[in-house]
Amino acid sequence: MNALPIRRQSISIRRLEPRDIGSAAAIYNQAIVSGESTYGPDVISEERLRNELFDAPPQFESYACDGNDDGPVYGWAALARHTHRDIYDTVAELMVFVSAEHRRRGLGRALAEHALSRAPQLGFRVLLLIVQPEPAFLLAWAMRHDFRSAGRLSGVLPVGERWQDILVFERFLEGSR
Amino acid sequence: MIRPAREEDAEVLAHIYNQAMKPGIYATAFVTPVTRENRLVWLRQLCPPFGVWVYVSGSGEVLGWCSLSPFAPRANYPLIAEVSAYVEENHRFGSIGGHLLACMVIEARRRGFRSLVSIVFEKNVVSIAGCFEAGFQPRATLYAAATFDKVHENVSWIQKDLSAPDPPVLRRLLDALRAEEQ
Repeated sequence: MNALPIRRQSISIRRLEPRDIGSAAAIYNQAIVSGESTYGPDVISEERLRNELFDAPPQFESYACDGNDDGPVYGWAALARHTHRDIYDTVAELMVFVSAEHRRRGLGRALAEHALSRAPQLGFRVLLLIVQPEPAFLLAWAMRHDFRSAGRLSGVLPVGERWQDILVFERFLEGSR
Repeated sequence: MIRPAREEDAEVLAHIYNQAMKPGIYATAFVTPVTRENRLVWLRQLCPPFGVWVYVSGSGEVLGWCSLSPFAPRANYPLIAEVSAYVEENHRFGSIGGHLLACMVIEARRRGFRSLVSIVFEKNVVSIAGCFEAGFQPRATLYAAATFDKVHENVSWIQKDLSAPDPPVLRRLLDALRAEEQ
């Protein structure tokens, strides 16, 4: 693995490792419970997340941001499998989660941009981003980073009493292998 | 007649599915042929509210099948199902596909789903046209996202709101199926 860990001011990014799965699942579940993720209404088990992130072909990498102190990770990002279907080998879904306690420090942006920089080197042609219509800053981030709107599904994600739409963004990568 | 699939249908389910993988068909996102055993495992995994049904001819031959399965990109969404339907290659372009689609709409409503989604190659115009006649609407297009036979293909997500009124073509099929059930 080249160019890791990287440092960005006080932010350290490295590969997510199996030992991080507990804190990664906790961060993911924080986002699920608060209705911010598009994963679904139920929390994800450590085993399921381990399968998704580590039982995948090697191009599907994931990254962690931590305090460089062997403590829990502050946030994580993944170039995850879109589905397990044969025809999407060169497609990755970008996922980024930061714990509530460590937001507003640029960790999510740093994780996302690190994943974006790795994606062409890993042979991906297309990145997908599946998000809710809010917050607006996330959509603005996507557009600034050359994602285009591919469309939306209506009323599929239960969030509290509402059935939320999910938006799909797509970005083509230049210079992929 | 349409009935729930049984384990003894696994072989014909695999046969019909593998026909859909042939070049130029653009009907499935899998390119590795499946086996009877593979379909058996799949049948056992698709527990209610999901399920599989088969279209059986008057002589008892299975000529097609359809399934309601979890929406693949977000498999734990509770009230959305992904639809799939496959017809034996010598019986395509008839009415079997429409009957299978109507079956999925009836079963999905019985099971409390809010909407159905089909993820389909944009080139599969016959399937898309049939879904549009049944009230599906275009929702998203992933351009060149899929790689099929070394060519990058567009993939469409189309969705049917099960609480919306059905178009006349689908209403006629639903009426025919309900009459058959009685």
